[in-house]
Order: sequence, then C-alpha cells, then structure tokens
Amino acid sequence: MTQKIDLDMTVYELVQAVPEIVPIMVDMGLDGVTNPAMLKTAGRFMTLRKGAQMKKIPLDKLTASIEAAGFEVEKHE
Amino acid sequence: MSDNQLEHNAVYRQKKIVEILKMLHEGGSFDEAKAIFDETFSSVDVSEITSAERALIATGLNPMEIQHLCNVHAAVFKGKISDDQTTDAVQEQPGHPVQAMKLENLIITSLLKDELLPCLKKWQQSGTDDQYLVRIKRALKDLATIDHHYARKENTIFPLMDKYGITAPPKVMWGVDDKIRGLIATANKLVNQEPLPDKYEIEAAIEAVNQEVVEMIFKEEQIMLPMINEVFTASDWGLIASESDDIGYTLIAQPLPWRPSAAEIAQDAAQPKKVPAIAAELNEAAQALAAQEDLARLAKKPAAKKVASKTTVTPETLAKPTIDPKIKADKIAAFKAGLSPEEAAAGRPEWTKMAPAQTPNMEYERTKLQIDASGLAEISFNNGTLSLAELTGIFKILPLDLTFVDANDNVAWFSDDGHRIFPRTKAVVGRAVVNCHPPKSYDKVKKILDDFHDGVRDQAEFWINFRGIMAYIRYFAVHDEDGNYAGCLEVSQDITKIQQLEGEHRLDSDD
Repeated sequence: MTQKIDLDMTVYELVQAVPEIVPIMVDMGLDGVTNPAMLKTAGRFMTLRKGAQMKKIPLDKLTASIEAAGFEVEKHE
Repeated sequence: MSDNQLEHNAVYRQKKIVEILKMLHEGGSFDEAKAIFDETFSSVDVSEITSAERALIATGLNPMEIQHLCNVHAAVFKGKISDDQTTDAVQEQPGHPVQAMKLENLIITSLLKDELLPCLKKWQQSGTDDQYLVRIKRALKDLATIDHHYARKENTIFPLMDKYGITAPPKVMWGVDDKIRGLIATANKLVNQEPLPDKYEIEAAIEAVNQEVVEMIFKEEQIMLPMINEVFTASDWGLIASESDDIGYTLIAQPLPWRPSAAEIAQDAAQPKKVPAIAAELNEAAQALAAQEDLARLAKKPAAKKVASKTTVTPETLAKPTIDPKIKADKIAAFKAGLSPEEAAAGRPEWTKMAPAQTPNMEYERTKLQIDASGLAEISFNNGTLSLAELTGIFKILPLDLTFVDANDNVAWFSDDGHRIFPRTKAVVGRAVVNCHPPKSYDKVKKILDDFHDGVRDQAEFWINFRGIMAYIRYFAVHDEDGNYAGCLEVSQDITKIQQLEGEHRLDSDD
C-alpha cells in the first residue's frame, strides 16, 4: 500500500510518520528538517504546503515529486 | 452591483488613494488627509495601495521620494490595511510589535516588488537609461535599513524565545539575517562600483537579495509568529514594545506607543498560556538543563563558599566559579608570571591589573554595604562611599556602554544612558551571553570567555566602523577581591569624536 502524504500535516508529525519524506524536503530546500531542534520547534508550524509557498514551488510540481518518490498525496476536497 | 459599477468603484477608490497620497506628498495637512481617508474608506487592500503608489510614480513623482512615501503610507493607512493573515485583534492594534513588524514587511515587500524588481527589469531592457539605475541604487539603499527590522527581532524577540526554551530557531534565523545583510551589502557595492560590473552580475545579486528577503518575511509571519504566540504573554509583548523604539524601524514611522492593557495582563495571569505540546516539551528540556547546571554548581559550592567572604556585597549569583579553583589559581599564577615588567610598563594601566588579593595591602578596605545616618544603604569602597542614588546616576552618565556578564556567562546587567551603540534590551538579562550574539561570532565570544575563566587572558579589544561611527569595544575579565573570576565587563564607546581631537582645549581656554 502506498503511503499517503498530507500537505497540511505539520512537518514534525509527518517526519515521525513517514521518515522517508526527509530527502524530498531537503531537495525542496527545507533543510531545517534535518536539525532535530528545529524539527521539534519550527517543524510544528511548518507544513509541506507552506514550504512550497515559501520556496515558490508550484503545488503540482511538489505533488509530482512526492508521487515520483512512491507516495500518494492526500487530497482535501 | 454590476461589473461596471464594481469597476467604477475600484477606479474611484484608486483615484481617492492617489489623491490622498498626492496631497500628503505635496506637504498637505496630515490630519486633513486622514479625515478624507477615514470618510472614504473603511479599509484598503495592500494591492490598492501599491497600485496607487505605482500610479503616482507614473504621474511623475520623484522616485527619490519613495522612502518618504512609504513612511506616509504607514502613518495614514495604519491599521486600515486588510491583511488576510489576521490572527489576533490585540496584535492588530496600532503600535503592537507584531503590527509594526508586519507593516514593515508590507513596505519591504512593496519596495522589492513595486520598485526594485521593475526598475531592474526596465534598466536591463533600456540599455542605457540611467534613471532606472538611480532608482535601483535608491531602493537598495532603503533596503539596507532592513537592519533595524532584524536587529529588533534579534534583540527583543529572540531573547524571550530563548527564555521559553526555543533556542534553535532564533540561532538559525539570526544566521540567515546576517546572510541577508551581507547580500544587500554586496548588491549595494555592485551598483555603486566604477566601472559598473556586468548587468547580469547585478541582476543575480539583486535576485538573490529578493529571494532571501521574501523568504524571511514568510518565515517571520508564518512560522515564528505562530510559534511565539503559543508562549509569549501580554507582558512579554509590552517589554518588546518598550524596547523597540531605541533600536528603530525599517521604512516606517515610529509606531504609536503600545502597552498591554491591565485586562490583557490579568487574562494571562488567570489563564496561563495553555502550555501546548511544544512549550511543555521545551520546558522539560530546559528544566533538565537547569538541573544539570545546578548540580554542577552544587558540586563546586564548597570551594566557592570558601572564597566568598562575608564582606562581599555581590549577590550569591555572582560567586559561582565554574572551574576548579586550584587549577585556576595555578593558571592565574602562570599568567601573571608570564607578564614581564616591560609588558606591564608598556601601557597596561594600573586598573586593568588583577585584584589586589595577590598583592596584599594592609590598608585595603573591602567593599561593604553600610547604612548611613538617615538609614539609607550606601556602598563603602576602599576609596570612598557612594549612595545607591549616586551609583545609579554615575552609571547613567558614564560616557561608555557597559554590559556585565556574570561568572556563569549569563548577562547580569547593562548600563543605559538612553543611546547605546549596540542595542541591549531587558529581555537579555539572565540569558546566556552567547545567545545574544550573531551565530557567526559565537565561537569568538566563547573563546574570549573561556580564556577569561581560565585566567589565560584578561582583556580583549576590537574597533569597528559601525553605522558611520568608530566603535571601540573592550572586554575585561572582572575578579572579586579574592582574585576569583566574577565575570566579564563589556565596554563599548563611540570614539569618533575622540579620534578627531586636535590641539588642546584647556580649562582656561576661551569658549
């Protein structure tokens, strides 16, 4: 079963649930994720959606790279 | 409303904004402009203001006035700009530090998006039009004042985050602030270089600035603010507000004074911040750390006790040497032995030498607290007596900025004559001194303090050009009357005028 990635989950929760997501975030430029002290603090307020917005990455591009890594992106309708 | 009417309305609003801005720009009465504004609009969108600003520039407004215009915007539209990030009504009050910060971010964003980047593009396309280069230079110069925005954050907000155990984010963010300061300095240098470097080099520098500044605004508003809102109290914001004006603002007028209401403070007391997961966890970590420190302190206590003579006035917090007194005594002895008489004679003033304990003097009277005839406390030093009021007055008037860091490397006190070279805020008192410096100077500060602790060095000095003045900064190891390390005194001084002194001005000279 492919794991679902929720773009609005906090990065802190996400990394606990799906540690394999870390390289994708680092690729996005969200390298704070590799610092445990940052992950525990700022990570509770950062989401993939916010990260994409901050780094000016179009959402569909982010979705594509997450899917390319073998995950599924949770769709909120 | 039909599309046509909507369109008409938008055009009308736009016209009114331009009218108000123009009126202000031509030196019209601020109150009158404000009155027109208030009766025309209940609120204005950021995009409306920025497009009005563009319209004004298009009608021939001198672009050199952009900063002035920004200030005027800030004043007239204060609190009237709708912001979809609205979080908390209190924080939207005029003068609240969050409001001031967001307003600055708004202006900075507009400066980048509506002036710097369009000018850069037009300059590249125009080939030879220097008018755009002039505007680029002006915009970059204005952007350099972002230093105030960052300095306020670093000196008022970061120490409080640190206090609540949120230590990593301020450190990381301070590093990025410094990087941005560097990028802006580089861009400023490039556009003012003769001959002018390649256009693409300038473009790359400006784009790097833009990207980092915009990203920092996002981090401040979307990550830092929600994070600190979980822990900061109304009093915390009051402290931040009270210390902000001295540091200054970026491209906005000084905000109205703001203080938390009694009700807001009472609310914090009655209903302590719903200690969220983050704070709870951080508190645990902080307490564990504090416990460790206490343990370390207790372990050293017997030794410390022995040296803390009962005549010493210093509060207990001061007398906590953290290294083995034996090792230290040895090191001090070695250090002193290493000091040749020539070196000592070569301009080491008497008062920089270590405490007199090593050179016993029968006449020496230890400092003590005594009560004068009218029952007021005074401090009796070896060379005389000062009342607390006198001491306070002396520190206030001393033409030096002093900061004292105690034996545990925590900031204990700073003098304040109202205009310090480097901002110091009450929030730093009690915080680890290394957290009060940009990360890039962390290692250097740590090294100086370690050397002071170990007794291998007892002073360090630097002089730097800082915002157009020559700042002379010295650090001294302070020892108590028994020669034990008591802390580090930082002495900063604006020596610009002193360096320019020539000839003589004697007491008997004519004025």
